[in-house]
This record gives sequence, structure tokens and C-alpha cells, in this order.
Amino acid sequence: MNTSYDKPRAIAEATRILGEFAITAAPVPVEKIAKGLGAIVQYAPLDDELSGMAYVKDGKPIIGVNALHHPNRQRFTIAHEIAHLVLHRDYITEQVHVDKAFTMNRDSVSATGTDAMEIEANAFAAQLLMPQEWVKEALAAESELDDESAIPAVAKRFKVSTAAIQNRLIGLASKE
Amino acid sequence: MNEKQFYEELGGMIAARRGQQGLKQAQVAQLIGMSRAALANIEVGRQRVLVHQICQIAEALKLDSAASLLPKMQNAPVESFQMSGSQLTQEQKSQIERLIGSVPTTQAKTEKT
Repeated sequence: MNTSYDKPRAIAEATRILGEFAITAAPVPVEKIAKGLGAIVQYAPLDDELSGMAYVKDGKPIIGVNALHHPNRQRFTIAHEIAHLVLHRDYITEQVHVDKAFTMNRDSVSATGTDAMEIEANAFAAQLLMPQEWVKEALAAESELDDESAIPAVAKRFKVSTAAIQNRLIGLASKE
Repeated sequence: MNEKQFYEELGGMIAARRGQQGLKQAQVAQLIGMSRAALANIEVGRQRVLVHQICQIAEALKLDSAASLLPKMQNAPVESFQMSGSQLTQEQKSQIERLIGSVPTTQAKTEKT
């Protein structure tokens, strides 16, 4: 298995999908995108530790989501599983791929192929749900109104958790 | 599937749908004139629910049909899958297998053509 990862490709693919589905504003309809890509999105109660899964069964992609999680978290899960479908289709055709609670920021990258896929999937999901330019614009607009509540307001606009927006901003800042 | 599993899964589906709708046990129980404790027991499969109650629950949870809460008695033999990504417990593995098993396969087939 390949142990190197390609974040720029993951981000480019997410941007391409937004274009393909003509999505121009937040919140991004991730479930609609998943279905548009031919996947069945299935909700089921799962152990709290499990976020979701991706599997291509008899040619049909299945995205499983933990029905007990918060809707915002489910949106991130769906975006993450779409990433596996778009970027790692061969891998999830051979076996069911199960995702536990996503670690958004990894300090140490241990060199396994699975980690490389998760890093790519997280980069894809972040760009799909919170496209870089949109986040910057939204943050600028909200900060003008009220600096204190800007981040929660942006999170609400994108239908993601405040933690997800914060992670996104940290990720974008560290790149600059 | 045996009866015990049936009611446990049914309860799990109710709890999941309720959570998705952001409703509390007390709110749903009140809507259908049931005690919160009774609903809690139904959700863990300890109490066997009557047919009219399952219809009331489905309506309170804004479902078109109570059928979407019902597990299949005659499950296709649970296939076992090779799983990757994370170390899973036996219970977690069976949850994933049930999820995959619950995907309407007829739909999968017709959409392919």
C-alpha cells in the first residue's frame, strides 16, 4: 500500500466536485452529492466510537453513517466517506472501510497506508464542506459584525461544528 | 433473528431516529401518551411494543411509515466482510454488518441497470 499522501490532489478533487454539482454557497449538500455520485447513504445506530464506513458492494457504493451522532458531525462523516469513494475507490471495493472518530490534526504521521488515506480524506472533507475562499469571506463578513461570535456564526452558516471551523482556520493559517 | 434481537433492533432504530430528529424521550412519550420510562424500555428492547404504538411512534418521529423502523425477521444470512481502517470489537463489527445488510439490495440492483 502506498504510504505517501497527496493533499493537493485531495483538495483539487473536492473543488472539482463542488464545480461538477454547481454548488456555489454554504451549506454544502453533502448527502445530495453522495447520492449524485451513485452512493446509497445509510444511517444506523453504531457504537459512539464509530463515525461511518464506506464500501462498494456489487458495484454500488454504500456510505454508512452513525445515526446517533449530531447532524453536523454526520455531515463531516459523509464528506469524509465521499473522499474515500472518490480517492480510494479500489481500496473500498476490496473491503469494508470503517472510520473511527476522526482525528483532524495529527502531530505525528505514522507511515501507514491507512493513515495516508485518512489524511487525504480529511483534507478533501474540509475543502468540500468548508471551501477555503468561502470560509475566509464568511469570516471576514461575520467579524465585521461581531468579532466574538464570528466563529460560531460561520460554523452555523456551513452547518459544521465550531471545532471543525476552528481546525479549518488553523489548517489554513499554517499554510500561509 | 430471534424475538429478543428483533425488539432490541427495533428499539435501536427508534432511538436513532429520535436522536436524528433532536427529540428527547420525554417529548416523544408525551406526544403519544406514554410514560418516558415505557419509551426508554422500548428503546432498549425490554418492552414489547404494540402495533398501534409503533404507528404512533413513527408519526411522532415524522416517518411516513412505521415499516421503516421494523427490522427484517428473515435476515439475509449476514455476510461477513473483510474490514479495514480501525481495530474493531466484535460488537462493532456486527453493527457494521447489520448496516450493510440493511441496505436495500433490490434498489442497488435496479439502479445499476
